[in-house]
Amino acid sequence: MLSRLSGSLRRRLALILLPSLLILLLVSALAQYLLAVRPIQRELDRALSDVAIALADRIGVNESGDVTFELSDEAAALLDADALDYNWFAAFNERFKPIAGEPNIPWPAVKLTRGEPYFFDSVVNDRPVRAVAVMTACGVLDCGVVMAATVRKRGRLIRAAQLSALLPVALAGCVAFGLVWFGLGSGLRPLVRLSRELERRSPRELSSIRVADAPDEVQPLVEAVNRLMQQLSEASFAQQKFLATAAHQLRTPLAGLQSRIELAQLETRDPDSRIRLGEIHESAVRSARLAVQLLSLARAEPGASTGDARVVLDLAKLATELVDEWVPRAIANRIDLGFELAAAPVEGSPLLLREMMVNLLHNALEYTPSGGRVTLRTGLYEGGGFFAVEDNGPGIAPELREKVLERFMRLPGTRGTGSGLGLAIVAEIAEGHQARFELLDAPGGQGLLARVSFVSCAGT
Amino acid sequence: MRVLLVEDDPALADTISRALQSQAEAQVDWTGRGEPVLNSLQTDDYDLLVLDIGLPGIDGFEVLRRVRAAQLRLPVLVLTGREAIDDRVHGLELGADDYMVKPFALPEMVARAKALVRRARGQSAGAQTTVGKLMLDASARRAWVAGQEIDLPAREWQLVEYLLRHLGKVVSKEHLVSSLSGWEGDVSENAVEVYVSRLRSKLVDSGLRIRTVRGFGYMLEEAADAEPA
Repeated sequence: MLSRLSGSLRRRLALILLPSLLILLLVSALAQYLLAVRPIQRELDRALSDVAIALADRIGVNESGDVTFELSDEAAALLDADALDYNWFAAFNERFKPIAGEPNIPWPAVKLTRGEPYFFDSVVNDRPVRAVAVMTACGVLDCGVVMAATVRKRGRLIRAAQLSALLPVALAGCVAFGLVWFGLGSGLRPLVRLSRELERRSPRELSSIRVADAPDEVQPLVEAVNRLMQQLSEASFAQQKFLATAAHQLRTPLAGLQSRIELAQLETRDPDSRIRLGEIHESAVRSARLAVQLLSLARAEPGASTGDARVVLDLAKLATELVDEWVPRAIANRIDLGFELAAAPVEGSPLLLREMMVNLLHNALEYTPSGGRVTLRTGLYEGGGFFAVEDNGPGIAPELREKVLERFMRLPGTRGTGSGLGLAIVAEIAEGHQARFELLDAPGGQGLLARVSFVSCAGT
Repeated sequence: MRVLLVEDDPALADTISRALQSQAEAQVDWTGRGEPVLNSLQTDDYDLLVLDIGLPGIDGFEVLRRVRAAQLRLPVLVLTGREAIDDRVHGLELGADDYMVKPFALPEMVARAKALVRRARGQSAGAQTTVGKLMLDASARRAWVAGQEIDLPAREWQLVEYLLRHLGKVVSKEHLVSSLSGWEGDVSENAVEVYVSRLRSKLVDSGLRIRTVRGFGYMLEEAADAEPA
């Protein structure tokens, strides 16, 4: 997900940049080619036409009015003294019939002007040639000379020019493509780091993010994210504060109500009233507990301003402090509450850790039928302290275990005065302590094993 | 019995007073502040102080400290908020005899108040203690169950005394081991189990019962509070 996201941005930028770069390179290659080839063509053509003009001077008209061409054998031999190319010439009379030189050279089928050389491509003796026709005056009539040269030298020079134009461009192109690709990659790295930083966070961590050496373009994004975080954390803080205040305000009158009902229960002799009072009492207890749990929930939130300083403490000792309070409750529910306490040092808030134990004990006592067994255990698990509450009650089906951790989630058909907050509170406190909260099958085969295991606090 | 109740919430104070009056035939005096407590305790003879920790002015701890500093030995039942987890430890160190975490069940509060008073009377009376159908004569080191004398060797005697002092409270096996060990030699946890089982059989008809708290210790309770076995 992360690499696909950054990859796509990189690809998108590459798709914009690379084709333009390609076109630019092609245009520059073409320009360089043309700039190099044109002068070569022109100079070679001029050399050809110089010879043709010199040859044209050799054309004359004799006494009988015939067009003649005179060239010494030595001069003719010099003309063809070329290692690479054949150089042919032909002299044409006033009817443009060849009178000297290579007879296979054609006279161009266009209208020429005297003194202006005409260049053309043709084929002589099955060889491609570059030729120039020069028209000159033979008395009152026109006659001319054509000079033709095969194109090997010309071809070589042009190929050399092509190569000198294309090779550097191709090399530059490859290097530029690489630079663009890696440049985009490294330019986008702060973004990748930013998203990685955000990805890594737990949803409860709302502090500002810091991206090392974020460039100016990314800085506004970082700032915007931080502003959002700030707003989120303020909103969450306000919500917590409200929850805590509301729960606190509710708790006192509810506790009063509970005591009043208990007093009425103690004082009444009428059995019917006792039953009614019992029912009211149960609702009051349930409401009071809900208020207490809401308060715990508000405290479990990150940044909650409770005096929950983290200290190193022994879960076994914490469990010992619960014995007095919970054994009588277990007895009242006819449940055998037992303890297996071994030293379990952890680092955490005593208030919240106690809250976790209390919630798990409450659940176990609530849902385990009379005559059942509940055991609170502490000790070391995988190097860190843990505590666990095991019961032999109905348990929770594996597929529902994730679900019961949600707030206000009660499984259908369950009895008891639960609010559906207990396990959510445990899960939140565990998360805040980087502890693992698991609901497992009790080893006995029946019942639930709720375990909270902490990372080792050795060295802290 | 006479109880001094220190609680700043008038509604709760009223409820507690009425419960103690109707259920323990107690005469309850109430104050919402900690300052006059010491004076009242010194002028009048109270059997029990029920003390809330969160008070306006000087708090419950300070009251408790002053009470104990004045050499007043009456039992103190401390009431504390749920947040104040360390308060309870603190309170016990300062000399509270028992504590209850708010919100508490009223019947349990009454039961504990009664137990504290009974325990204190038993100790101050010195010679004879009667709980249920068990009667102990500390000076003569003799014990009777339903009028029938029972034979209690030294360790069992120490055990029953210790348990009676903590009637209705869970005592850990660890504490029993250290309390039974002494100049007569050390006692192992296994030995404690043996003494408990012997004592149990001797207390069958006493209206008292030693409940085992699995993996932790024992609790001596009156059969009236206990489930029918």
